[in-house]
Amino acid sequence: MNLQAIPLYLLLVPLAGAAIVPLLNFFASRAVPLFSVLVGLVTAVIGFFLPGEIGAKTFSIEWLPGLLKTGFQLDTLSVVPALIATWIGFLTLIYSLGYMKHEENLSRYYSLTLLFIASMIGMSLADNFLTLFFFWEVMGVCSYALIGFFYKDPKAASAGVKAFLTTRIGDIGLLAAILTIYAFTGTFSISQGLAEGSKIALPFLNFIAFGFILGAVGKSAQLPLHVWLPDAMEAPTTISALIHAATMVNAGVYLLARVYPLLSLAPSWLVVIQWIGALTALLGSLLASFHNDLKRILAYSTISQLGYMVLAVGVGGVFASQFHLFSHAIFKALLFLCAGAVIHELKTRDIREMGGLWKFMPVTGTTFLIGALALMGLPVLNGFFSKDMILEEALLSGSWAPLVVASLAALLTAYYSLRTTAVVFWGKRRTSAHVKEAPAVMTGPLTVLALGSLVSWALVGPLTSSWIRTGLGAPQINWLELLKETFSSTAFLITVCVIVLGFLIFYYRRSLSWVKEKIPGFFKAVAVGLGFDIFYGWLSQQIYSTSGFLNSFFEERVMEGINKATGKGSVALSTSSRKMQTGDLHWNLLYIVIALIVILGLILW
Amino acid sequence: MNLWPFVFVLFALGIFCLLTRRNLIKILIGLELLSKGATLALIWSGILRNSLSYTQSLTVIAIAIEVMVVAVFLALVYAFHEKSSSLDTDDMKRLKG
Amino acid sequence: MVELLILQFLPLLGALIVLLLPREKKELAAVLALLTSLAELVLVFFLPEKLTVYLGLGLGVTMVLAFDQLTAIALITLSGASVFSILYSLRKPLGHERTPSFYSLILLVLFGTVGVSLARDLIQFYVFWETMLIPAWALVVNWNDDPQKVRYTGLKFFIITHIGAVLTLISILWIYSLLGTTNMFVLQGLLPGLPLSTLIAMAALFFMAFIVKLAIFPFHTWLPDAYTTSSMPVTLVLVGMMTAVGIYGFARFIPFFPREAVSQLSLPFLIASLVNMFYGGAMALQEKNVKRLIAYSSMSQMGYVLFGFATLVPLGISGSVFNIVNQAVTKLVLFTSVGLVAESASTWRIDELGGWAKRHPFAAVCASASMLSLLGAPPVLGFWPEFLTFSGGFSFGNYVVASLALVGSVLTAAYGLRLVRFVFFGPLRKENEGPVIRPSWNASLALAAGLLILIVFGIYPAPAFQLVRGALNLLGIPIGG
Repeated sequence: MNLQAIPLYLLLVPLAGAAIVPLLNFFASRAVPLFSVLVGLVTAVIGFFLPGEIGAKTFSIEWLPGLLKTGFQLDTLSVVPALIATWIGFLTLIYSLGYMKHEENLSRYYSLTLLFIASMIGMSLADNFLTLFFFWEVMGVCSYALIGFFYKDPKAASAGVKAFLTTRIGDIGLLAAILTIYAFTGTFSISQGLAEGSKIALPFLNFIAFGFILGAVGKSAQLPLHVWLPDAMEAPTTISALIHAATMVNAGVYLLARVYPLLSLAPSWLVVIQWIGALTALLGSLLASFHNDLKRILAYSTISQLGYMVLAVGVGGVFASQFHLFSHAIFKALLFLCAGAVIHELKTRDIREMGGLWKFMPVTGTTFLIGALALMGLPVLNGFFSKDMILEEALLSGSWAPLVVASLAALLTAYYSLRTTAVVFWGKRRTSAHVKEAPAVMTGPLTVLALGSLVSWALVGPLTSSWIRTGLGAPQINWLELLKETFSSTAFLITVCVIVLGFLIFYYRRSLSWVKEKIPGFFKAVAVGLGFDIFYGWLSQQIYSTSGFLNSFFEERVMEGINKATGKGSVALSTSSRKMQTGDLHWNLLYIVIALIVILGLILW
Repeated sequence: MNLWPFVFVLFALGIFCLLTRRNLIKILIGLELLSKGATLALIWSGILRNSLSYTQSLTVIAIAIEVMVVAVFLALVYAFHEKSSSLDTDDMKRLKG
Repeated sequence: MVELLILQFLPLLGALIVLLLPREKKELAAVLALLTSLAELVLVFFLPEKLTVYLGLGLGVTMVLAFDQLTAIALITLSGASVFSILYSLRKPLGHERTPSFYSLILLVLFGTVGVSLARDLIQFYVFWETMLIPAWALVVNWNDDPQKVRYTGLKFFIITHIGAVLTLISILWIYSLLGTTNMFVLQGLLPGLPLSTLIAMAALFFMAFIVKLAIFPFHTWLPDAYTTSSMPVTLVLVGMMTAVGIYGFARFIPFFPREAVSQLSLPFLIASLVNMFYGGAMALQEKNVKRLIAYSSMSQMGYVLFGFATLVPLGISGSVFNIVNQAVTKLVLFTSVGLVAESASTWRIDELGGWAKRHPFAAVCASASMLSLLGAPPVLGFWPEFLTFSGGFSFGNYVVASLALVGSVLTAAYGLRLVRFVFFGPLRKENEGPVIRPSWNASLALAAGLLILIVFGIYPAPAFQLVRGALNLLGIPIGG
């Protein structure tokens, strides 16, 4: 096997799988799930060879002859999201065997999932902006199609539309940035563009930075374009785990990390990024603390954690953001899949109808707890190290205000992680449904992911070394050093305070219920997501009614009026001219005489 | 002596008849007057320019044409009279647009 | 040389033969028409690179038929669209209205449009332009779903497009009076000798036919009614063939006039295209009749096409040339798939539709794919022209205009998504419940071919792009390196 072609195979195998699934469905529809898992396995295996390729030269193909050559760029930054997509994708496919067993139209599901995995790989490994954008959009299409998978449900269909439209707003920002770089540098190649982009004048650099930020804000569900992610929970939970936790939503963060060299040349926008990240982190954790739909809580939590990653990029901690991306993908996928198991058994998403499930679903409960602790950032779990790194970077760069906001968010994160676990798995049982543990095909991936949450931070050694090897700046540390550094950093103190406080709030939450009575307005606002949806709904309504008005007044009256007026005008002209045809002989003779006189006059003068 | 006033008078009388008379025969007479006025103008300008033989030929042709006009006119009048038994122009409204 | 003459006159021959068939022989007429269009399509692929046929007609007027890459793109689109429309109109049993004259009119439209693409003399161009207009008008007026409005619609269609054509004729006659010839090859050398203001006025007048044909605001009023009230095969002819030839006209003549003259027209065209994008998009957004919605979306898309041309940079123009094929395929597939549903539901109103993906799964897939193509989302064909157009937009210097155009694309996404959402997704009404409907073989074949083109060339656009690049090179606008 030609080792140089490994990234190509990595891309092509799931792509081919996606194309074959509909055909296979025609002949042997029962084989589709297993086939998809097989494709996922092959992809995962190929993925093992990928880290060895980091830094290797690769080939390119001409996509648009004469205009565009595209190929693969293999550095740690690009390999990590690709591998996350591959491996977590594989685990999700195994999980889907159990979770989606009783659904129909499975070929559409598996085909789109495989296509999605291929596009995430394609996007992160792309060495030029056009390919990146191409796969970025394909991911958006897959997301739209999969959110609306249960298309008969109007909520799902509308959620898919909302997701596509909102990310589309971000996408045009990305496209504008890419095309502006192209206009100035004449190339779509990422490495060349970043190198030569530094020569672009500042006003245009600001525009480019804005474009990239807009793209990231849309795709990674940051303020103010975060509204699509909670609604996207109408998708099957496996999709929520894969797309809306582990992979697609990370694309925005990946983008910011990738173009950081350009962003750092537009410092005012870096501050904006910090604030977007911090505020989103706070907003997400706030909303997660007070909602009752299990998947929605996890969605808000994802928004919040993505905010941390964005904040990290904003303060210059690019490695920290990617490290947290890695950790978050693992534990959030874990949380979602556990949630999936619970929802699958209980047929409800409302946590007020759950409780005391630990006894019946021990594996799910334990793994969920591990995930929640990782989310909270409890020491020794992977979330702790990566989140701590982010806070440390913020401290070092002197961005105090965002740091405070982020810490507040961490506080709430600690609270809601514990709260959610408690309400779902501990305490009194509030449902009367017969509950049993999920099948092995579902608990298997859960266990793997839980293990990952416990130890993935140890990979920091190889990660940093390959990071440096491929020319991205970061300190080289291995896991021992990481342990030492983290526990001796200032950020560790913040983390400890936050966790302790969060735990206390959780423990005494019943006695704190008087807070709700004091400020009911605040809680009402939280219940509707602080009004963003309402605002966007109002905005769409305005656009509709303006278009309607434009049609009924302008198009139907003015434009058609012009047409009809032209017609009526011609008819009027004709009618008035007809009066000359009197049919009276004397009139005709008069015209002749007048003509005669006129001609005589013209001749004689 | 100057014949132009005579020409002018003939033209004026002819136009007056054309425009104000309702009876078709009277319109014919007006048309004739116009023709005669044109012929007179022709002759007088010929005299002024002193090319009598050329003028003579043109005048003969003019008279011949005038005769043809009268013939066609009378034929039309006759056909109209057959159809509607009147010679009044007010009855000829069928070309009204 | 003979091949070109065959290419030009085959549709005419087919039209005459079909016309002479007796009224009852509908299937025969349909099959003959289909074979003629197919033959036309196949013939295009077998012609060598460039061919010219030259006939002098005296007085400086010539008749020149020439075949190059741009013409090839147009011809493939035109004959492909006519195959598609005729295929769609086949039905067992053929409706009473599908008489032989119907098919002969379609072939006459093909004849006219092929003539427009092959013409290299201005008078010849104009003659064929009008030739395609008259059968199209006859089709719109006689094969119509709305008998009350048909006279008004047909009249509007004919008069407005004719006014555009007449303005172009004025420009042609002006050129002729100043330069003594209408041969395009000769004129390209002679035109730069004229004063700039004259050239600008000439060019502005000349493009009027195409502006009206592309339904650029404020000359767009013929389009919604013409598309909506005519019956489906006629709409497909209008969409596939008429718009293709309009875009072709721009592509052929923007490089024809000297650059200094055309660049003065660039800004007005840009503004007009922006108006089209937003106005058409807004109209489509609030429209309740699905057919009319797609018609307005066509108007909006033409805004993008004009935008690409108006940028006057190779990338932008290549995007619009690519759009000749893309717009035709996308629109044909979209109209057909939505049309199938509207037929089953017996209504075109969006608030009475919904959930039809259950009963028309293939149509749902095709509609989603073509909607994505409309939006310019990969991995379907529409991504590439949209990307190229916007590349051009950002390359020519005015970032405000380009950014506005990008914002317009969000509007496109809004109405496109809304269309698919409310026609195919959501719950199906009780009275529409039933088994999965298999569309008849002809509609399935046409849709499958369209879907295949959308996806295959969306993923691998190289062959199509090579053709576009060749066309642009020939026009003197080199792309890339």
